[in-house]
Amino acid sequence: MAAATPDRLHLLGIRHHGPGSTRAVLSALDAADPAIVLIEGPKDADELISFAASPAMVPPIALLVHAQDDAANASFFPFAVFSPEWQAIRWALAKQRPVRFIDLPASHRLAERAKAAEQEDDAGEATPEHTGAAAPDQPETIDPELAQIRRDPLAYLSTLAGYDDSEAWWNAIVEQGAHGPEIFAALEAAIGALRERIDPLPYQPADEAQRELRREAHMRLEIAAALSAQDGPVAVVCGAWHVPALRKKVAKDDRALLKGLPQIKVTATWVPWTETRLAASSGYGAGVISPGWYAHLWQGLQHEQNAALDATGFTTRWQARVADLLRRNGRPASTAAVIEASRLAITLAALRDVALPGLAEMREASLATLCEGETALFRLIEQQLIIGQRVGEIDDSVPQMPLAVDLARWQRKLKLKPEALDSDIALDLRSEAGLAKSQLLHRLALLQVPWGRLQGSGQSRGSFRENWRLRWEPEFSVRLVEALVHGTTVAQAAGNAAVTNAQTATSLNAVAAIVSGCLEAGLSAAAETTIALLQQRSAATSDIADLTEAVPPLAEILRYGTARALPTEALRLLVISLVEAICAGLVYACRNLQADVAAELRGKLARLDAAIGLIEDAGLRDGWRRALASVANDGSAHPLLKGLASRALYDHGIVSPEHTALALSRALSHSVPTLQAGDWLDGFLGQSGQVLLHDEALRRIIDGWLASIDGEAFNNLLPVMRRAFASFDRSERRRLLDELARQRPLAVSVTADLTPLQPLAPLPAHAAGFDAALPLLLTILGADRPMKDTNR
Amino acid sequence: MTTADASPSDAQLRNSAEALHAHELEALAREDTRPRPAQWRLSPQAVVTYLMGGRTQAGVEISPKYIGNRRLIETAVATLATDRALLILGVPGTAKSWVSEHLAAAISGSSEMIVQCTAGTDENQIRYGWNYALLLAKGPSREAMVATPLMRAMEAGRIVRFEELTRMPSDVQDTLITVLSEKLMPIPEINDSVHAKRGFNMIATANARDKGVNELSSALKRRFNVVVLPLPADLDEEVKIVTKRVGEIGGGLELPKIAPADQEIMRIVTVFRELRDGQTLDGRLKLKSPSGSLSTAEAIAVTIGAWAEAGHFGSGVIDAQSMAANLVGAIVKDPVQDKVVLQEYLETVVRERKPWADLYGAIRDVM
Repeated sequence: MAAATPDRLHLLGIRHHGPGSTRAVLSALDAADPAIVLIEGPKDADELISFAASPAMVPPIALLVHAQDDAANASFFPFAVFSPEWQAIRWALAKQRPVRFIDLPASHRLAERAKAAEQEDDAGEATPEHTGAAAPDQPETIDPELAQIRRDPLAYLSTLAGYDDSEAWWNAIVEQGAHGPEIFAALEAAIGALRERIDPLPYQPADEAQRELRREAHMRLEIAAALSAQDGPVAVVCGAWHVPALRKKVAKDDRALLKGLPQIKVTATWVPWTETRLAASSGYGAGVISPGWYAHLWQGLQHEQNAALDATGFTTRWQARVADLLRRNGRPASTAAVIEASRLAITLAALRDVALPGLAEMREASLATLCEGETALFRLIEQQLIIGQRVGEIDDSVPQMPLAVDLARWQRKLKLKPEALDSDIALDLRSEAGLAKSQLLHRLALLQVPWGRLQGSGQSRGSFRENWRLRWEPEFSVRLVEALVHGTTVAQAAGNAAVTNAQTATSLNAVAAIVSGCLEAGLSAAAETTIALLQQRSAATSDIADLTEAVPPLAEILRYGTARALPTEALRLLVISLVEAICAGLVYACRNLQADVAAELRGKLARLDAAIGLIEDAGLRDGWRRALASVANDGSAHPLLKGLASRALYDHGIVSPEHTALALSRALSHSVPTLQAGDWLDGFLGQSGQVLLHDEALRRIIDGWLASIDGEAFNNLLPVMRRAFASFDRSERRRLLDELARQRPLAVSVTADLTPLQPLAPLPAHAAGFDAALPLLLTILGADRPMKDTNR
Repeated sequence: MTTADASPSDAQLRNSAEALHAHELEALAREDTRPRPAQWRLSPQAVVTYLMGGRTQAGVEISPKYIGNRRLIETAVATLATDRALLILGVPGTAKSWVSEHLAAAISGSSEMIVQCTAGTDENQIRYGWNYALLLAKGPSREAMVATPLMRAMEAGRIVRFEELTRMPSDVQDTLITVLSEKLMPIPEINDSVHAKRGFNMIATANARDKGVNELSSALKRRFNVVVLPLPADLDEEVKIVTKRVGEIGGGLELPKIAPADQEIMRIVTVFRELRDGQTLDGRLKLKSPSGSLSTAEAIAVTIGAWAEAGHFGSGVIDAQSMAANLVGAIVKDPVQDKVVLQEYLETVVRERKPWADLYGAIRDVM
């Protein structure tokens, strides 16, 4: 094989996603005019390169390579518009030169991963085998310096140059600096020197090192093949770290290294990527700290193809963006301030001896002028400004998974654009478009693609409005591929996924959630199937707590679901059967409970009580009330739940105030252990003082009972009372006291001092008792001391 | 008016920045080959060096004046170089006036063109006043005018400083608007105006949080570039600041020489930081904060007080005894609330720290 002839081979060492590198690559390509362009990228995605020529491909986009039978086993290779690889591909396609990926096929890596996953499943902790050359004995820990050099050699070089901020150095020298293709030779020399020192050293982890060796061997072979096939110049765009290794001749070991690598079938496609995700380090290893800034740089560099960047225009455009974002967030930002910010940024750059304002100078200038020194204000726009929120677009001709195609069709039809940052929409379910959007989002949620999340009040289905927060994540593309087993359209896949999940769900509650999901997603067939499933499951279950949780979401749909076409009858039957099952077992479920279980059940029962109120079915309500009454009168039910039941019965008007007063006094009598009495009162009052505030009759019941007990009993009950009132917030307690004071004006007008009480109006017979109890009542209500201490 | 004599005077209680550091300014100016904005004594880079410290090529040591983030000072200097006015914001005791004084000294060679803003400051004290005898005798004329520091700075092309800008009423603050945006001050009485010479600029300091301050007029705020000086980032930085300033002030006051007290300064700063942040340094205990701001400046004052007490009356070493009274005085601003806070701190934190037993005893004695 012929030796690599240096003058025909142009190795362009770049930093992934570096706009300065991109410009240098483009000018090097123009100068060398290569017959073929080779790119560091997975060989198995070769066929997809040609799509890059289409103007409908808008970065950020990524190559997705996944195992054919397991979409979750996937690798991404993202490109931004300013990525050197992307621009080199575009250059070659525009000039109709062949362009190829030369890195090791992703299928090897994916096969290794699949194997590792299998091994984990099989043998638990079997030590992973190292294929290929025997790995050296696991030596000491990884030298952090070595690791850093390998991870980002260019950053390391900048530390050598004496910069504390490597990003700033790199940006100033390479990305923003005015230089031509000569930068490649300089970088190659620098990296070559670094690698000479580092390559002989052991590299941890060993399998990672092995993979690096294989990749470089593969690239060398590909380059050699291209050189022998072509007479013209060959350009290679690869990470700067690899350049010295690729400069070497093909060695005999290279082929041996690549023999017998595991392989699996893979599928590759283009998927939209997000600027947010570009910022994280993923796929390519070298992440970008600030895609928004790099995009701005790239824009600037394109403006002035050859000359150095025009500082004023460059700076002003950035500061104008800052001002624009501030305005969009409702902050005033004047043009005058933009001018001042630009001037300050340029002066700062001059002061710091950099040719162009960098991100730091821009930030400080914006902060001092546009944000008037308020860091919080800048933080408000920082993410949109520096990271960006764009989502890429894919040409329709790219072979896509049918599900992704279907989703894209819906997105176009409903005018919902995927964006990488949160955006809020409000949907009116009475309108056709609103309902369709809501259904799409609910369907996606069933597919585990939570593009939209229901917000706040929208979560209760008590209205025809839904508020969604949308945010597209790149991995949703993968989830869509995974969901392909369920069907080829969003509706079909969502329905099937719901049924499958309902079949495998472990709790009744989960099934109920799926049922309501299906109803909201407008999947009638799936809803009917899952309702039937739920019915079967509920018949078999004996866990009341589980059942109680399943009812409220269904009841809400039954009540408010009129905006959608629903299989109402099936749902009603289901809810009735569920409630009947609960009523039958309620008393038993309330007995012999631990405190924490009882507290949990209390919350569930309270929700259930509210939910049953929503269902217009008299028979059902009567059954429920009977069940409550049996709990309230049951000797061994947990007092917390008994209190709750008594209160619910009182609220529904089933038990008269007099009887409730009796029940109260019974539950809190002398003989009842204090703890139980406290639980009862807690359950009875609920966790809010609101009702006590507004329900005068109820207040009178408690008031009357409190006034009638004797001093000793009162002292005994104090801790109980205090506990029950402790969960009210301070303002509630205060208002409660005012309410009592209104009835007896003089009594409570002074909190600390005990002025003689002179009732203005004739009081009922128990007034004396009340007055005597008042100081203690004040203590109980916590109204006699400053706020801080009441929490103790 | 003649500018201040640029050599430190022994009779003066406190010498101005330009007098105290005259040799540093001179050394920097001698080597400074970079372009200087009109009327600037030093280039912007040299001004930053003067504030942040360093060493000239000739080997003259430049002491750091501001200990903290260099980028903030760079922003401040760049602001003044763009002829925009500079507003230094921050909570009390974050070296706002200090930075402003040194900036003016390094840029204009004089830090003494200064307007102290108070609730009683009126427009005449900012713009110009009249010599009433002359006014009555000759009518309004330039001779009958009494120049303010602002007017003198405009005429001379210097930096003028406004201390505590927000302490004067908002409508008086607005007097500065035309000066800042058009660099001229109209004198309607004689149909004339004062045009600022190149080199004129303004540094204002203000704090937004203290008691008794007015809103900063928003029209005015737009005309300033704002730099916010933060509290020292960590214990070490604050100890460094206190140690350095205590040395300088103590030297100036000719306090009796005593043994270095780095350990004690560390304790003072620790107490201050913990009470200010409302939690112990290790983040384990939550504390109540006293009503005072407990700034770095106050920590310096406590140390100086302790030094004076130790030097004149005590053992000649700053110890728990000499610190205690000063500490209590600095922390207890509100005789009821703060006392409780300090007592709680004493019992829950100071008592638990074994090496602090002396301090615990001493503070208890004082209280």
